[in-house]
Amino acid sequence: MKAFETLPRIALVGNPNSGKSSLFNLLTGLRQNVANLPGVTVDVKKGTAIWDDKKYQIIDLPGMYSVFPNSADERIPIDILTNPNHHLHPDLVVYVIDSTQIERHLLLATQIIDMGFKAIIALNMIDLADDRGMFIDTQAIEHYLHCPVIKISSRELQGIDQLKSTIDRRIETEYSVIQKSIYTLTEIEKCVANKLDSEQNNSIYFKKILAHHYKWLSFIREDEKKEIEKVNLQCGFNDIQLQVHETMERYNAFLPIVKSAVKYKKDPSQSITDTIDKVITHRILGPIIFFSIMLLVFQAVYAWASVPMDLIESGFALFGDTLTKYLPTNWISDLLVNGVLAGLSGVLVFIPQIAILFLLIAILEESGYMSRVVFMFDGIMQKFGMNGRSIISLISSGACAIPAIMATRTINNPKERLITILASPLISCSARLPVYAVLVGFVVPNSINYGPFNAQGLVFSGLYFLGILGALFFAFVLKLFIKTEGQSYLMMELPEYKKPLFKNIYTDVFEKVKSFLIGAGKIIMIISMVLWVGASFGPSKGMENARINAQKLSTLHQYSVKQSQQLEKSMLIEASYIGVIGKWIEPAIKPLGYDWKIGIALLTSFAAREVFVGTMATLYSLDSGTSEQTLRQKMNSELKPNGEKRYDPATSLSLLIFYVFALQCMSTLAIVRKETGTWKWPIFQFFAMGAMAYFGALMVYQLMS
Amino acid sequence: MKTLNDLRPGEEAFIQEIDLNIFACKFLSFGLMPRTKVHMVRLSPLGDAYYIKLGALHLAIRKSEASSIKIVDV
Repeated sequence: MKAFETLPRIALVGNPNSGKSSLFNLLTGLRQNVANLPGVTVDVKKGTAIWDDKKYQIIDLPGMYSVFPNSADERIPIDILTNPNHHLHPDLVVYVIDSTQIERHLLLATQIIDMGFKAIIALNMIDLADDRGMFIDTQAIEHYLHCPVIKISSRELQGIDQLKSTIDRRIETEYSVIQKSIYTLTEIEKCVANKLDSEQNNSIYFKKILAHHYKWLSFIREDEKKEIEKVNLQCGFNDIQLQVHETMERYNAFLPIVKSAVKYKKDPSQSITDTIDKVITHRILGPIIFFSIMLLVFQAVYAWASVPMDLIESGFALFGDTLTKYLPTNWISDLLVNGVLAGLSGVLVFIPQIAILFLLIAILEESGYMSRVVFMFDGIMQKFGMNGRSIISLISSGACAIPAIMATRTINNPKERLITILASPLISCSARLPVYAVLVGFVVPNSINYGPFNAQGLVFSGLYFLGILGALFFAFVLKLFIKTEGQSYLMMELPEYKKPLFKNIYTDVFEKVKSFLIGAGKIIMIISMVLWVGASFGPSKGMENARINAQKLSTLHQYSVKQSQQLEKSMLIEASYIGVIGKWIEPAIKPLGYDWKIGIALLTSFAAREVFVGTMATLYSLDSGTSEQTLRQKMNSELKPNGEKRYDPATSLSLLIFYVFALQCMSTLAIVRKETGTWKWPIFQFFAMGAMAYFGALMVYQLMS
Repeated sequence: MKTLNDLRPGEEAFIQEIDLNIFACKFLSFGLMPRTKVHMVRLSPLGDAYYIKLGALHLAIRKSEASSIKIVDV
């Protein structure tokens, strides 16, 4: 069998919404993955297609409207197409067109052909065109473009066999880069193209593209850039003006051809989409419908996911308990149960949330609804440096930041995407809830009511509100400081509503879960191991003393076996490295009203916020299965050295504020590392949110005590 | 000269000219070009963006972007 890299490469090129991804999924099935492109945030998918005895590499290039990009991710396909040595550079281009929009989609087709690519035009969604009484004369188009034109429907599986056999034939045919181009170059463009020496036998139009984009094309060396700059200057090459001129010329040439080749049996300008949008994008109804849908999405991620999540957690707990029973008591079994299994459970527990959120998002995206969301909320999100799509991430963050951060991939402006990633974890997620639940009772007693409102309920809502406020404030500040790459724009197509295709949704969910497991899973595993080591080992003398003291105390008080085990556990964690660090940071957290026990809980809950509750239980020598009620009683009777209650309102509120802001979640760090491609942003985020948490808590404690 | 910003929901106009800026090509590639008829459908909830139609094509465009599209009455 031939290695993947040596197979003939076919790139799917086309405008966004041309149905490229459906075709890609159809050709490759699940034999696909995301191509490895350093520093690139948008997904470029590649996969293997097999039919008859043939095997090909298929590359799904990000959608673009022309060879003149306006954003960073529109540049990616251009960078690949202009670099003959790129590992994704195609031998053949299948140019995918939405048949109902053939007039606009032909623009890029003519540019791709002029660049010298061996091409096939796939008139996709031909079923929709038929439904609308549209007839396209493929021969006329073929004659104009000098390349095969095939009617297909990747949704209805029409014309796929013909496309495959045309690919087989086309890939075999000899092809010389045509020097004549559909577009007639101006004298200035010819001047530039003739002066640009190129080792490759490139088309004249290809050289013109280099003259437009040389500044940011990644494969052009510095000395070559200087050379192109010189040539451009000599010939009087005006970038923008020539882009516009070329585009207009192309339209002027092919619009008459399209007019005679395409016949309409009915008026195409009115469709069901207009009727739906009258309601869906209505100025008042639109937002109401959106928030209702979001309520459902939130409910799904928050509540529905909890069933499989509990199953995963209790399953692992049961398995761990069983192992503990049968394995000898030593550090290896402990590592296996409390390190490896706990870490694995901590990774797998996110899968239900990720799968459910992306199932729903994929349905919204596939149906065409998501573009309407962007249209409706672009303005308000823009004020905070974000994009209409950011609102989905911010709302899902209320359940969990992990899937929310993964959902930012559809935001095409890098700055807007980054701000969304950095601000989302400030929204209070479900893991903060147990912490809030334990502490809120120490701030206000349950019995107080203000009118119809319960005081605890008010504090709860206040914490959530503070999170939202924090996220918007953080986003606003980031907007001022993060530099912009290219200007932001909205300008986009609102595609016709379509019934979502199950295959596309399934592939998307599968891809997201896989990329989480591979990308973030290993980081989460490593951090949870480190935390396990920190909590299980300590300076040997201290650990030994802790054991002896625990035994002495147990004998003195005549504790039961269980009680003495709990006491030993509590004294061991105090003597462990994490305990040592907890005590060491005590001076730093004392102004917030915390002691070393809280310090230890802050450290261990870095694994996940809800671990706070478990650690507190251990520190107060309670069984880990203790109810919140007993833990709260125990915490309530804890005293400061001066005899006051340790968990007075000031300390408790300070701690709550700390948990609202602090990035106490290794999984968030791991996913931010994966999605931004660098440790710089998760580290910045950790310290920025840490500073907000520290100073917020400091202020509250100092004002209240 | 009137721009796309001067159209009210339900009104139509012909595009006369597109300002020569970095988005000019973007507009053109969506089919927003001289002599095309553009239909203003509605405003976004906060009034910062437009829902417009060019034939069978539905587009969303910001107010600030619309100001570089010059129009003449039908």
